[in-house]
Amino acid sequence: MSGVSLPIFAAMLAVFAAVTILLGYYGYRNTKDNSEFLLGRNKTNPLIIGLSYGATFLSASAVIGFGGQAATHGLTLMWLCFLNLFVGLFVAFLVFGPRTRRVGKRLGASTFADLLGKIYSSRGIRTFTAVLIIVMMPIYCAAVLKGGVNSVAVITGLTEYYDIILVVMAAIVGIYVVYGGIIAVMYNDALQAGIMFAGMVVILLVTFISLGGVTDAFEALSALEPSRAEGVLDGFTGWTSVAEFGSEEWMLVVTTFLMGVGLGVLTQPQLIVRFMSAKDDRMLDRSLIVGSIFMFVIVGTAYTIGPLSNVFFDQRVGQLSFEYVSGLGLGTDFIIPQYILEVFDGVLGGDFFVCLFLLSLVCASVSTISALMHTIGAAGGYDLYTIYKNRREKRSSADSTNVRINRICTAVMMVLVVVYCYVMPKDIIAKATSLFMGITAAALLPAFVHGLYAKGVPDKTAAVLSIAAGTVSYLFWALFVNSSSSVFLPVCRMLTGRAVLFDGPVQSCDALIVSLPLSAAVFLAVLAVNMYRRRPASPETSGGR
Amino acid sequence: MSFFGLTDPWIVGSYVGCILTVVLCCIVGIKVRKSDKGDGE
Repeated sequence: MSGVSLPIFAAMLAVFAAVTILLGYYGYRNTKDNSEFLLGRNKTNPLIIGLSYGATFLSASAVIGFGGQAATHGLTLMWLCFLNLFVGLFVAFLVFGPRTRRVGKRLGASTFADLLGKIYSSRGIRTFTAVLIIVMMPIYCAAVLKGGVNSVAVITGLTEYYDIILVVMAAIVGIYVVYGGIIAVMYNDALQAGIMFAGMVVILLVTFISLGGVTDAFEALSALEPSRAEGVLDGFTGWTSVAEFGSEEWMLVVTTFLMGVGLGVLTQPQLIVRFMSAKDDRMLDRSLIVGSIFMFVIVGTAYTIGPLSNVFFDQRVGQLSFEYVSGLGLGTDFIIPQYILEVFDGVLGGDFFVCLFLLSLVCASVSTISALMHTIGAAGGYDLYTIYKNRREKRSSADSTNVRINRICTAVMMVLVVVYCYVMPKDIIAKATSLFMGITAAALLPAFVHGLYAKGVPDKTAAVLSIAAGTVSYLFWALFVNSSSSVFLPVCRMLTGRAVLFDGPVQSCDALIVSLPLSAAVFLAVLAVNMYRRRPASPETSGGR
Repeated sequence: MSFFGLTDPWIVGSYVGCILTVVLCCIVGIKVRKSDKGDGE
């Protein structure tokens, strides 16, 4: 894979890096205390919040990871675009956002772990949430970093410089997050979102033009014979129709890709902080305009051009995307990059647009990595350090105001993420995203919802038991039942000699489908029992004898 | 019935759902709430 004009891309990258560092410096100059490092409430506006939320939400994972999966599994993934918009944006901003902002401000919370801990007056819940972030988020972060670097290295043909690209990208992100805090992160997100938007609009237009228009393109996609599909499971019926209900293919697409990511977004710590950064509810409402248009264009384009790449490769080389890219020795994560390289071949200004797409990928990766690094650093340098300090000094509550600890922790975790990149299996961008979003939703969503909306004192016992049930059931299902997620840590193979415990469609069912209802059921059951026990005694039972 | 060459109602529904959600978001964003509830809630 080659065909990128290195001088053009180098020039674009140099300008991008310079502006990124400048915005990092702007963040540094405006970060005077820990509150500004963590939330930066006085430096935000609807445009910045909307774009930052969108750019953080959508990483290279959405564009190349899920775009590649859409090329393989078809337009059903447009339902993920709908869930991203409806659940991840509309519901999140209207139902969760304002309440999160108000409760967070009232309690003086600066992070998601801090917020949950203060809602339930529980050091344990705060510690658990921070540890969950520190343990699980680096996997997601490493998947995003690795995806971005892989794409850049392979598309530019600079695979022998993979290590250098990885370290340079990590270093640039590390510098501006460590010094600039959330202000640098959000302003850079907005810049990166603008570049992503421009890149994806051009790609969508060129795709439809090259395939003879919207209707012709979709008709040609419908005409492709499903039996030619590779990389799909039993039940696949074509790229323009939904798989057979309950089949292995349906289980994989609907439970892992749609539900896992679609619902998991509600408890993403790096996104919840965006709500807490807003000055008022009106700012959140206004953010919806730019946020929704941005997300629809980016995700809708990726999930539309992915399947359509099959038509393009079929017309050009007589092979479908998965087969063609596999023949080049590449995985599904490279379907979109390979398609971009070839669709712009011979197009006027094609070199520039390929470089713009490549820069968009860098932006998509960097925007998400920076937000994740900021969240991981805050979980260690703010939440865990606060708990450690309070325990050592025998105080009940006094949040850390030490920016330096946050910065050190962020830098250390950045190094850890780079190490993760070398030990993770390939082609796992989309699955690692589902894994992180799934476990946070299963463990924390019921407790988070109750914490925000409970009348009176929230039920701590219900929260603790729900978190435990969600976490344990998710880990069990992910490691012993689901064949996609068990590759991350092959405990089942080590203990039983089998990759997973059961055969059949159940091994394609995502852990979230089981663990989130279980976590919610445990929460409701404990809540009901506690309400029953606390009910006022009736005259007959209150001592009439 | 065909929607730009797409005939599966589930796939057409996904596109229509996306467009309607964007329109809803824009309406909410333009008609921003007049009163901001107190931060002390």
